[in-house]
Amino acid sequence: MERYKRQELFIGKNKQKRLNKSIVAVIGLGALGSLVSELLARAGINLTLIDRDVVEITNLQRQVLFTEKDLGELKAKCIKKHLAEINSNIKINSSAIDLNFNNIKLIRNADLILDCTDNLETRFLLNEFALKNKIPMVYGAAIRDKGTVMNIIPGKVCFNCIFNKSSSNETCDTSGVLNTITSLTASIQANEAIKILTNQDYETGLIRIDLSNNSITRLGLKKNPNCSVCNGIYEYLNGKKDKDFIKFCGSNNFQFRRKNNLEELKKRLSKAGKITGSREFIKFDNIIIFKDRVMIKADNENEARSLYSKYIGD
Amino acid sequence: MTIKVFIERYNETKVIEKNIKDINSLLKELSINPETVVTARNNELATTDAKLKDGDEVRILSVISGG
Ligand SMILES: [Zn+2]
Repeated sequence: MERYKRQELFIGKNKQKRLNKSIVAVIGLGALGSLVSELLARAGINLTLIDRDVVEITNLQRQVLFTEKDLGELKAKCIKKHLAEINSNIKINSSAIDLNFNNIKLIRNADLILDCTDNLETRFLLNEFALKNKIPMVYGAAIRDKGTVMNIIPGKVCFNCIFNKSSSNETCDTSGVLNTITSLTASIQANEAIKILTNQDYETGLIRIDLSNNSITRLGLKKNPNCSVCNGIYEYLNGKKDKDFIKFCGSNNFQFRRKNNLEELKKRLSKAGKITGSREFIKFDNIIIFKDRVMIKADNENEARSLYSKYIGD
Repeated sequence: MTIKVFIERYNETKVIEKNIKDINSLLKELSINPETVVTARNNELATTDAKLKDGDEVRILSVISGG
């Protein structure tokens, strides 16, 4: 196809065909996810896009594809719309959901998973799903002027082998992030995805990118013999580690999982104040209510919990 | 013994001249919570119980989960 000529000249017809047949699931449409989606869409890869958020003003500094017109809209919906305008020859599915052990089967048909999420919980869940279903995955993350990428190939070193005892206190505070490191990290992530999909030699170590001194460091990896996930124990996938309440990184967002009747809540909350929104969600003050969850912006957990019980209930 | 330590969080390289048994003890010495970092010894990721010897280079990297 004319569209892919420049890329095809370099990788060859067969690899291009392979890409055009592939489906990649992009989980998280923030700085990494939005750029990775654009790169893969332009390269001719079919996409399944998943994200639970709406576009906020603080996203525009680094999250490509979004425009001021998208503010307040669902990220999954916006990206699908923009990408369809860029490449109408690929298939794009998008879901504005909070990925969890109940709905993760949605990405079972993916040939590869791109982990662009903003929290460790979902990364552990994806790792277990990828290993169990033998789907390769590329982990990417960024903070400040540092980025990291690691390929997770079924049977090789997994995410849990390295990060099983980890917690990340840093991303959640006000450390900040540059759009230059997110775009560099996303590019490497997308490139590794293409290598894996087209059977080329891919990175087997952990890549660390540091813009303070323009270094890319590759660190060797070893499988952890005591890794529970490599030994077939899937605690996130079977719901054992599932939490109904989560604090998200970056923006002081708290999420409560709950089945909501939007019509009923609309009626009830309109008595308390102004309500905006669409068919998929309603917005009230610092609260966004979806059919399957409630997101609350608050300074701390206590404030979030009190807003929750004040306006939502139970 | 001499150990070269790179602490990514502060873009800082330190040379420590002291007998330090393993990465765990090194993190304690530097007052770093082991849960918030991954560590590498001589360019290979290593668990915190990895033993240290003279001349080893240790990298202390933050756990990054932002996307
Ligand atoms: Zn493992």
